[in-house]
Amino acid sequence: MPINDLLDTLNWKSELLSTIIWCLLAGIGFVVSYLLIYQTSRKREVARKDEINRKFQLLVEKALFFEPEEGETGNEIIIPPKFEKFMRKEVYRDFLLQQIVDTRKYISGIAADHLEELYLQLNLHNYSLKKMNSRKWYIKAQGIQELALMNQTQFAEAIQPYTNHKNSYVRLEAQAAMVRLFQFKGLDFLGATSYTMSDWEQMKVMEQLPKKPPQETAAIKEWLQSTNQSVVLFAMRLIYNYRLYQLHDELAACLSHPVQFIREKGAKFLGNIYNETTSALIIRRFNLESKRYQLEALNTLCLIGDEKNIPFLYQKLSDTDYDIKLAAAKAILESIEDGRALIAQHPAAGTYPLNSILAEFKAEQAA
Amino acid sequence: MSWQDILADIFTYSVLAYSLVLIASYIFIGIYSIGETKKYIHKNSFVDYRMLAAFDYAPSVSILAPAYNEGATVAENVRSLLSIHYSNLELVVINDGSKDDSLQKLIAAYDLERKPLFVNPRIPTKNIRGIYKSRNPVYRKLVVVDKENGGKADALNVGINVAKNDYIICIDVDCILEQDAVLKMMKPFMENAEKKVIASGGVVRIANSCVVENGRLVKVNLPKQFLPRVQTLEYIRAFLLGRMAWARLNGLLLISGAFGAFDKDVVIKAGGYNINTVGEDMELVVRMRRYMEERKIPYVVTYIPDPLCWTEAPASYKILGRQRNRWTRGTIETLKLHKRLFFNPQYGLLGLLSYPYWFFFEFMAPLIEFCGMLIFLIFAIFGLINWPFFLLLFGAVVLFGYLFSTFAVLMEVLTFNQYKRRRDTLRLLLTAYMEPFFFHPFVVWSAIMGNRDLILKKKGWGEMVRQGFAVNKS
Amino acid sequence: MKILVAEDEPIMLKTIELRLKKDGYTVIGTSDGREAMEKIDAEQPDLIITDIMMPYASGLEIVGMVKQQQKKDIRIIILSAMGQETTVLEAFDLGADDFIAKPFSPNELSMRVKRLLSK
Repeated sequence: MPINDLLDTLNWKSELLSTIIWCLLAGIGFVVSYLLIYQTSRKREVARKDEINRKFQLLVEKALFFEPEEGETGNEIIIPPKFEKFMRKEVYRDFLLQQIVDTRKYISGIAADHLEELYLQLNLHNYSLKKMNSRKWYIKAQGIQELALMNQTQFAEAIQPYTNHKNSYVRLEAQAAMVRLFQFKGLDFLGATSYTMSDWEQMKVMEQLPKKPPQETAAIKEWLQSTNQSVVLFAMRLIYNYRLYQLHDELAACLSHPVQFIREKGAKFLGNIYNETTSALIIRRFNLESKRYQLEALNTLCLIGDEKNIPFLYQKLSDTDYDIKLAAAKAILESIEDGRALIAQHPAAGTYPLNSILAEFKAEQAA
Repeated sequence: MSWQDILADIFTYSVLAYSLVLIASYIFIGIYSIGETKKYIHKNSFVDYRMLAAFDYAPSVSILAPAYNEGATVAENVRSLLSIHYSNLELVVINDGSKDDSLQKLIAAYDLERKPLFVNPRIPTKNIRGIYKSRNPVYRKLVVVDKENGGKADALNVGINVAKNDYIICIDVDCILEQDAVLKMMKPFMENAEKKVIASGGVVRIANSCVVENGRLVKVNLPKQFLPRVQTLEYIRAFLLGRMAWARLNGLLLISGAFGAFDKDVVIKAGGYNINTVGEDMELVVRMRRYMEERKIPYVVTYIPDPLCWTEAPASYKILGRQRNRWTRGTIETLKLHKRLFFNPQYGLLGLLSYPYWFFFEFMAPLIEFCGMLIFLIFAIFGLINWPFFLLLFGAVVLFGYLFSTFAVLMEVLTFNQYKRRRDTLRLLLTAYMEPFFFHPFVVWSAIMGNRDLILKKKGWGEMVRQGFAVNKS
Repeated sequence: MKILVAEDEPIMLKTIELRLKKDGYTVIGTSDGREAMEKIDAEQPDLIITDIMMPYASGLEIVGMVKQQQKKDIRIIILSAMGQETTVLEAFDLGADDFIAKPFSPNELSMRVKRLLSK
């Protein structure tokens, strides 16, 4: 009978639903229990860490402000014996390591040296090394970072291969490590890297370099010729940041590079090391280039402020793009004595947008 | 079989099919987002943002903050925005023709003077009445633009025209940003070597009942009132699970209007914000993606799950209703504007997955649910319901929702752990269990109203009445 | 001698406080710009060490405030991270007396403090 059939199918479905409901309830129960247990254990861990924190901090402080006793030549920092016990537990070891490394980040000078000695005395350098050899990428990267921050040049050979590692985070930490340890010499990986360096990676590596400019620039010339575009860009950034006037012509050569963004950056970076030939070089292919190139070029011409550029700049006031007009006008202001008067002579000076631009300049000068 | 049975079968099976696909997608999202979140947390375990914040060659950013009638709090809000850790930063506050004293308050607080700056009107907008900068060099990052009232989208477009930097971050002016917010948001733009990052979405967290001092979030508390609390849960689910998964697929369609970063150049080329829709945030992202797809330029829309931005959520059903109504209308308007994408292989993932998903599971879901409820009522009146079976079905669906929400709470505790007290976690769970009865039907109803209002051509934003951030009203 | 230290990175703040306390100064520490300005008014320190980037009020604001209010006898040392050259110059324009770059040497800081306070 159809009603029975209907009831049968419904029963089957009801059975299924009941099972599903029990599974869901079990699932919810499981997740809630996991949650509560996790929270409790986290709290306990935090409490324990707080307890130990004070002792760790005292040790770090002792190292920071360590002064050898009269007559003693050794630099051994006295480590309380119970620390041996702590160091055996990985959680505490990590915690202490983190404290030492975090402090080392902000400190330089003798205090930093003492921290490094403490690091060695506690045998933490081998722990960092172990991390570097881990199979998980984030532990590897952390290990490399620790070794670099604690100045462990002894492990440089072990770190070197990772500068071309397939995982980008490991690669970055290794590259930054080599630079931190060896400054400009550490940049040698640029000649061999097969991966593109993102802007973030370039920034991080750049940050590790010292304030003083490099003595030798032969390597930079090589990198400018690299087939890896990011390496070329990095080399250009070096020239820009350190104002390497001696490499002006090599940087200017980038204005003819086949890749567009390199030409654009070239126009920008020349603004830091220009000489009397720069303007002509930048202007040469101006009309064929992208808008970004043109804006960078005009900005650089503004920095150069050479009266010889006035005819070119004046011509650009007639460009249809407002941004170009504005950039050209700003450059004119910097290139000639009474730039405003010159701009006012332009046939379109009484109309928008040149009249607005002039109004802005007038207010600036009045201020 | 009678026609009623056939009808009942069609109804049951189609709803069942829809629900199964929906549930499967939830499960998929849940699992898929775990991997992505784990990876993100591992990444950040050894990145030190502070040391990089001072860099002059980090990308230049302009924060755009449109303001309308925020006189009471605008000076403080700007203060907190000005103290963000980032070197190459500009803060553009756009006064959208406020009727109160917002502009005067800003001029007084920051010693502003009017400057006739030339602004290239790349995107057509309503008139700018004036641009102001501070005489005090300490506030040199601040630019205040006064303009005729034109709505949020128009104000943002003005901001885009005025902004001098390469990237823009669009926020609501009363959002509280974390110190490292800008740096964390900009990192994706710098990290990606192969594809161009055109936009990056941030997480919006709910600040109700949190302690805010001097424009800074000092203590995070779970909201005391039910409505903001259930929205907290909702946001955790949506942001932590949903968006992470979508970002991993590179199918992210929506970046919260309250907090998002964009490549200014691409925004301008795509045409800026659309002033004819109330869902301008979603519409811009879809249009930007479309722009890149049509030109076959490889691109990515990323997403940062860190809690970086805190804002106030509606605490009354009335205001919540208006908000959800507006969101619905915005979604529909966007879907309509870009209906060309629907299952269009020319647009890759965007057309084949993202758009259809939004169409079926964001737009249609409330409609189907509502119809389902109506039909259920009709069947109930005619005595066609097999109650035991129905209750089992209903129970299963509700329990699945509970499981999903519980899982979301677990993910929150495992990752960013903003609500550390056991009491708060339990309250959050309890809220999840109350949600299907006290919150969800209301949201569906607001969505239906949104559909109706759109058909009746209602426009506008309604008013968001400010409660102000409570300094611990217990 | 009272020294106020305004630095929002807790490890740095702690290290500086320790070094100065060892040298025998009274140290008031804060990690908040606005709190720093309040404490300067309340405690009238002899020297201020402040970071440039701080929540709520930047180091520049603090320098400006102190020198404007003609507390000329309060010395100011600026702490700066690399890459903030322009801001450091601005700080000097506003009246700062010295600056120290991060990462810094606690011993060097100690010497500079001694030098400034002995004038």
